[in-house]
Amino acid sequence: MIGSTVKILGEIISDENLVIEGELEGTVTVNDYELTIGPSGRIHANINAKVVKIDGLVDGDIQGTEKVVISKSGNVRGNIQAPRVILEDGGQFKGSIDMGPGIAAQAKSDVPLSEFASATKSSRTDNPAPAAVKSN
Amino acid sequence: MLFAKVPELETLNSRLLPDLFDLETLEEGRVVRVLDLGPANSHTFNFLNQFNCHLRIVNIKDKLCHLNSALAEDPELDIGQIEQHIQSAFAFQGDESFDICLVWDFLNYLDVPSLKVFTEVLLPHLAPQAKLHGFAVLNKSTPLTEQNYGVVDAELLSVTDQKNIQLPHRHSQSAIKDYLRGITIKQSILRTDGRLEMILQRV
Repeated sequence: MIGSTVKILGEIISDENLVIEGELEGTVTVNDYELTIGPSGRIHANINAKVVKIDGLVDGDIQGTEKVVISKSGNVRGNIQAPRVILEDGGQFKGSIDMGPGIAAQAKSDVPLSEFASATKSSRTDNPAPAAVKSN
Repeated sequence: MLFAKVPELETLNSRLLPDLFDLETLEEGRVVRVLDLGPANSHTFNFLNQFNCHLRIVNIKDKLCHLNSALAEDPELDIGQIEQHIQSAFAFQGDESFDICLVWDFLNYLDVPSLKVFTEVLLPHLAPQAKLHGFAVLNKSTPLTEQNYGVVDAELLSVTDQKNIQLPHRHSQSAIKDYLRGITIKQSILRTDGRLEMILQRV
C-alpha cells in the first residue's frame, strides 16, 4: 500500500495487488492483479491492471484487462479500455470508454488494446513519466 | 437530523429506443460509437457493457449553462462566440464520429440561434444515418424540470427527476425541424408528461 502522505513521480510496476492512497504522477502497471485507488488517492497517470477499482481521483488513461470499477466516491477523467466498466451511483466520469466482449478477446491476444477501436480517436498520452520517487 | 433529499429514480418504457439500439446489429459484434451528452450513468454503462462499444461521455450541461449565463449578460453575443461555447462543450477530438447520440433534454438548454450552432458543430461528428434520441418540451404549461436519464435496456430508460432545476427553453416540433439542419425527426411520441420523445436521424 502507498499511504496518503506519499507522493510519487515516476513509474510503478507491481506483481501483487496494490492500493494507492497517496499521490502519483506517471504510470502504474499491476500485471494480472488488482489496483485500488483509495478515497484519498490522487492519480495523474496512465494505469494498466487486471482489475482497477477507483474510490479516489484519476486523471489519465486506464486499461483494465478484466474490469474497471468507479465507486460512488470515484472521479475519473480520461479514457478507459476494459471488457467491463462498472459505475456505481454517485461515481463521476468524463471521457471515452472502449468496452464489451471484443475488448476481452483483444486482452487475451497479443494485439494491443489500443488497436481495438481503430475507428475511434481516443488517445491521451500526455502524462509525463519522470523517474523520481519522493516520500514525505 | 436533516438529510439531503435524494432525487427520485423512476423508469420509463420507450417504444422508440429499440430503433436506436438495434440489438441484432449490436450483437453482430461491430463497435458501435455512442455519444452521451449527459452525465455518466450506471444503467447506461451496464447496458452497453454487453456490446462492443465506444462510449463518449460529454456531460454538456455545465457548459450550456455557462452559455446561457453569457447570453443573459450579453444578449448580443455573436454567433462566433456562441460557437466557441458549444465547441468547448463538445470538446471533440479530431474527426471522431458517432453512430448514436443521446441528446436527452439538452435541446431545451438552447435558444434558437444556439440550436442552429449546436447542429452545425455536432453534424460533422455524426456518421451517415446516425441516430439521435432526445426530448423536446412543446407546451408552455408543461413543467420544465430537468431530468437525468440512463439506458436500462433496449426498451427502458431510467429517469431521475431534479425537481428544483428548471430547463431554460422550449421548442415546437416545427422549430426543431427547421433549426436542426441535416437532421430529420424520424419518429416521435408525445408522452403523458408533455415531453415529445424523438428519434432523429442524420440525413
